[in-house]
Amino acid sequence: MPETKLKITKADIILAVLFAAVAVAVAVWAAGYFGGNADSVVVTVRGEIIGVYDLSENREIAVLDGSNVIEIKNGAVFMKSADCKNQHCVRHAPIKLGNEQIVCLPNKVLVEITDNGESEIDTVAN
Amino acid sequence: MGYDICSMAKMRKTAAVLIAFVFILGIVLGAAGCGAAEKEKFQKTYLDAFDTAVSVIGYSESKEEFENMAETYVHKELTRYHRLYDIYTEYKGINNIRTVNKNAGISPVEVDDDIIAMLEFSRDMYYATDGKVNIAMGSVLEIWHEARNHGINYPDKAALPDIEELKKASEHCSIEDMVIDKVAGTVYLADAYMRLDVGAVAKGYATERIAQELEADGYTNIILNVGGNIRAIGAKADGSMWAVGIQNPDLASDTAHIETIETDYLSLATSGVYQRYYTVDGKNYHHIIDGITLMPEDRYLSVSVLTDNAGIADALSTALFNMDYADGRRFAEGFMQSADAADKDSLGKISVFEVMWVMPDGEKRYTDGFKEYIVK
Repeated sequence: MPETKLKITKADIILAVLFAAVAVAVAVWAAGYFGGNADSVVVTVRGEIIGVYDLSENREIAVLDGSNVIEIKNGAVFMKSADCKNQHCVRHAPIKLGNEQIVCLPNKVLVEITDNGESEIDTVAN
Repeated sequence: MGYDICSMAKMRKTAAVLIAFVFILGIVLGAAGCGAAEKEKFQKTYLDAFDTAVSVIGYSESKEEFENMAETYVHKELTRYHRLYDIYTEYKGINNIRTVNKNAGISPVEVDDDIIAMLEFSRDMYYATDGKVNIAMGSVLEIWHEARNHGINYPDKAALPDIEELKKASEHCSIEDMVIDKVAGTVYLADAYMRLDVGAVAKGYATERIAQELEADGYTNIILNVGGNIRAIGAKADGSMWAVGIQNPDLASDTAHIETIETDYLSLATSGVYQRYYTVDGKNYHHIIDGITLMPEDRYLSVSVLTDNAGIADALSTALFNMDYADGRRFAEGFMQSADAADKDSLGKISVFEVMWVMPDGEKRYTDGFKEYIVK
């Protein structure tokens, strides 16, 4: 056997970087695919999505200059207040599952939890 | 510098094997993915049709394709049906139910075929239920509607309607006075004080028409929710059933859904005390008015009907709400046979008719077959 030493070539380094990149990509994809996304809350006003929020982060969202105030608290969402007459949306129990909705029809406000593919319901007969 | 020959060679060999493996994996996964064009789940909710929230949920190859379907088949059509069946507002260029009401005792009104078909369906529902759902009692419902709106707008002045006034109105609720001339394409209310109110029927009927249109054009993997009128059009893309939560009549409860049912083709409708009501002296008065007592009765918190046709589900959930439990149960158990016997075109084929009643104390009662559809 000849006494040549195999040296790290440029190709080896490129390959190593490539492997690292693929590993990161696979990890990110797997986390998204298998880990399930955190549920998010989508607020739509008069047909326009005005915000997407994390269901696990407590916060208050005022829309239409405060006509409707939506609160996210402890993994559930509810309509804290609304200036409409019938107060249907305010009386609605907090929602926490994907595909559940709270609607304020007079002000055209829609609050829904997106389905991360694991919700036990597709829609609600109300 | 430099590694010993062995380990460097090994590393390169390992790298070669890994690359080969990734290639093969890529080919296998790629082939699996291309086998069937993947359908993705989409949802679109409209808040401007039929005075309610309308959701279209379905699987499609692209968002664009899905939204085109939702817009043309559901949103546009519901808007059209709503204008035809509206009892509160008239629209330029069309005669609707309000036009018919305004011409009560005056003259027949020429209307769209889709109005005549809905009115005939409603009349069938009247006779099928011995009048427990009656679109001819608009004069009574109008009085309640006004009292409820007034009570919602001015809670401290909320009051019940005058019973004498209700009784007087109830003398003008006869379905025979709705005269349909199919040849001329007209509807005439022969009693000048009579009014049509199609609120218990129109939404479900329109939902069914739209579902049948989608089916006829080959659409599948869709579920419609028109203000609580549910209609499935085929299973989900992976062949599994749609899961539909039934609203807990106790809105403040932590349990949002008292039952979840699954289906790939049925309709579900619920009539409940929580849907529309107002409060007088601390007591809630809901919107489902009994044709005999002329009052909202406290027989149930809600009644849900599971059946093939969304129009039937809607109309009969109201009818069953206005029947005592024993009568309702007998009716529910006999309905499938009577529907077959009646052989009415408007009823179509009925393969399932199941009911869930929620009693005032929250107890749930079911027809025998209902439980088969409950998700455990």
